[in-house]
Amino acid sequence: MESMVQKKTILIVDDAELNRCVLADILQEDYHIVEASNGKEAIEILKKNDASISLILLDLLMPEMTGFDVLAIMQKNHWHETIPVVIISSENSAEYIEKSYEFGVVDYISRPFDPIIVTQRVKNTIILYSKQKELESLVKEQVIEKESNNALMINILSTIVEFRNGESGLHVIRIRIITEILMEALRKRYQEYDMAESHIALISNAAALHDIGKIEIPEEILNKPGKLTKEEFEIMKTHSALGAGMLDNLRFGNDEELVKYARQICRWHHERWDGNGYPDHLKEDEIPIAAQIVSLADVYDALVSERVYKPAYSHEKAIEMILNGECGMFNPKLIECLKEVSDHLDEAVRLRSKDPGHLFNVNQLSQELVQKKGVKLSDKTLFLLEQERTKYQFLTSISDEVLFEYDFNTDAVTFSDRCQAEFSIPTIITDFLKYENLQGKLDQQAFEKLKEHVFNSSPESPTFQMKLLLTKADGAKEWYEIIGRTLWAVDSQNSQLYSCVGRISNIHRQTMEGKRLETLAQKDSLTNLYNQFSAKKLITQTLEGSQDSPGVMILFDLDNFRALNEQNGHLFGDQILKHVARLTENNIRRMDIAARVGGNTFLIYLREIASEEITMMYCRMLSVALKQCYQGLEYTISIGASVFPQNGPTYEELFTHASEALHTSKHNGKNCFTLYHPDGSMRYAFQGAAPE
Amino acid sequence: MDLQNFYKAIGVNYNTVLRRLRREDLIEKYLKLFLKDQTFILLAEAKENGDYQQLFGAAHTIKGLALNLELSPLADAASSLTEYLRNDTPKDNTIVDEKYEKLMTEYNTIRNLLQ
Repeated sequence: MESMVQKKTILIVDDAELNRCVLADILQEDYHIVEASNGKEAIEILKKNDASISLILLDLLMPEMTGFDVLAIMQKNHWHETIPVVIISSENSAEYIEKSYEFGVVDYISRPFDPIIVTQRVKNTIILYSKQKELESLVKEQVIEKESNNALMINILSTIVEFRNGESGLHVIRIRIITEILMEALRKRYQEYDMAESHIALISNAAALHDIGKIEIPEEILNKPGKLTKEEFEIMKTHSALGAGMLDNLRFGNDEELVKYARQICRWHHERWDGNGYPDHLKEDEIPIAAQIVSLADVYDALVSERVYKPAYSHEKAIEMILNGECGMFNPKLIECLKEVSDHLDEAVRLRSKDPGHLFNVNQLSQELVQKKGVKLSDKTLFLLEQERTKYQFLTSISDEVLFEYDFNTDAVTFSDRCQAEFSIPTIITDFLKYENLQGKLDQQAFEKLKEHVFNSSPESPTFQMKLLLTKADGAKEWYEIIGRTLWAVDSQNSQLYSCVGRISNIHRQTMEGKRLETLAQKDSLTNLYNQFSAKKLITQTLEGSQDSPGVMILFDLDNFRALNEQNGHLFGDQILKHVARLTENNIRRMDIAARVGGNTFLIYLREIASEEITMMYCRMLSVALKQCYQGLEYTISIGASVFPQNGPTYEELFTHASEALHTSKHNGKNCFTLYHPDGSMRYAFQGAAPE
Repeated sequence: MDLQNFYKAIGVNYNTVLRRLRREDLIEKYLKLFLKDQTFILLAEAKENGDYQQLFGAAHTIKGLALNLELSPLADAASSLTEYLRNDTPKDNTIVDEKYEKLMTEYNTIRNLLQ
């Protein structure tokens, strides 16, 4: 219960500041005021605080979201049941007023505002609503108590009655249990009988009274150990009508549902499906279902229990006898139910009779009650909810990722506050499934993929993950990862998707870093050409992919590199290598591959070069291009080449042959070019061109 | 601001205003807010664009503001325009113009008096 010392909170929703001001001034002495200048803001505030707002003053005509739109959303979320709404409007037309009341609005105050009237109406409304909440919780407690007392009373009464029959009170308990079990089975299989949990509770209670008429039967007949004579049997049969008669004579509660059922059961629990029962010879479904069930339960229990006139039969024998029609005729649907439960009937009865106090499913019963009257939460629940909200809000505020929650019923997404800084989007977006409303933050494809992930999830596998590009607040596109979990409402029959929550985190740096490292691994760090490993991979891929497209592999290195290094230092050597690498890059096309495969050895793979002439021309050109002076130092290169596919179908073979050709160049005085030839003799061209 | 004279000039009994809004400093505050209110700009825009939907909304809001501050002539003019624009029947542009002009006149009168 709210403390009297704390001020109650009022939310004022109006698009004109002046109007909000006037109202706030009237009310702020006694209440804590929160303001919203449009419908969307109001909804946002409500979502965060619905436990603490005591009243809403709502304008009708506002841009974007009118007062009626706000009311509609409130209805969807059931807020209108706990938070009173008072409309403030200069609109006095009857249709607006009527429409407002249809939405469950509590009061209507028009402009100009009279401060006295406003204060009083607000006060009265708030008091009324808080009283209502108190009453509700009181009633709930009472209902529970009453139900338990009811059950107990009946238990006592019927035990007394049964006592006279020489049977123990166990019979009453067991009849109730068996009746309950059969009704549960009936409800599951045959919906047409419309068995709500409240009916099950009532009927099983009423079942306890089925033999109440026996009180009027003389004891000699009741407890006769032998078979009854025809006349005695006739007298015995009257107990059904007698019992019903007693219930008819009740001074009070004659038309209570419990009594109605009890009367049915008393009078007709000896009727038969084929009309040969007593006392009224009712046939088939003329017999109320309550009586039908108790009838079957009674027969079964009589069979498995000891009686003055018979011993107890086993569960199996009892079922057999009933199914064989030896004990009367029953509704075939009920027989089906009996068959279904017969496996565990024995066990169930034994278990449940240990705790006969709770003979109906309290949870189910309360659930149904609540469903009929709409969902309402007690104060304690609201308090807990408020606590969870506070925790959640704090945790999201200190995280620098954007969290989201999507509600399927209202088709709206709510983001954590961080969304404004990160993406400059509002915290609430309605009509989410309409792509336009994402304001271009992600592209159509990514959006479709996201929807796919969400709708392909299930209660068994509810989480999903995806990476995508999003546009940030500053316009840059970066990589983000969305991790989400769908939430399902699951009952015995089906499961329904109602919400999805998740996190959007920026993984751009990691992704970019990952890409960078990947590239790095492929390149030689000194020259920034491919390294041997990736060159081999690339070239192998190319060869496999283009079986009929010819190419040339060229290996070359700087002559006398070691001497060069020794004379001028390793650093200088490195510089020359870099220099040569640059020149190489400038002399190949985009489709070609250049790599550094050894200390001073380079590889070039030229694609789609078919003729030897062209190859030779190219190498000649290459040697000229590469043999430039570097810082006054002259250097030369040796070149070897092999041809695809003639000189080898694989990278390894091509490489080996190009190597051999290079070797030949070296042996032939360096500063020249050799083309590999498969029959052992190699063709070579002599290039003695001096460095430029 | 001499509030009493202001209200007298627009033909409103100052005592009524004082009774409703209770304090002079509050009345002054509200009038200042009123002068700052952007709805009049929205109204002019709507009129220029011929957007009668927006015009209706703006006029309605102005009616509310005027009622709150007991600016009766303005409230009446706004009400007249609002009612004319209310439903979907086709409008006679000259009549709209007329009512709009009346509203603006009243508004400008008030503005001048307050400054």
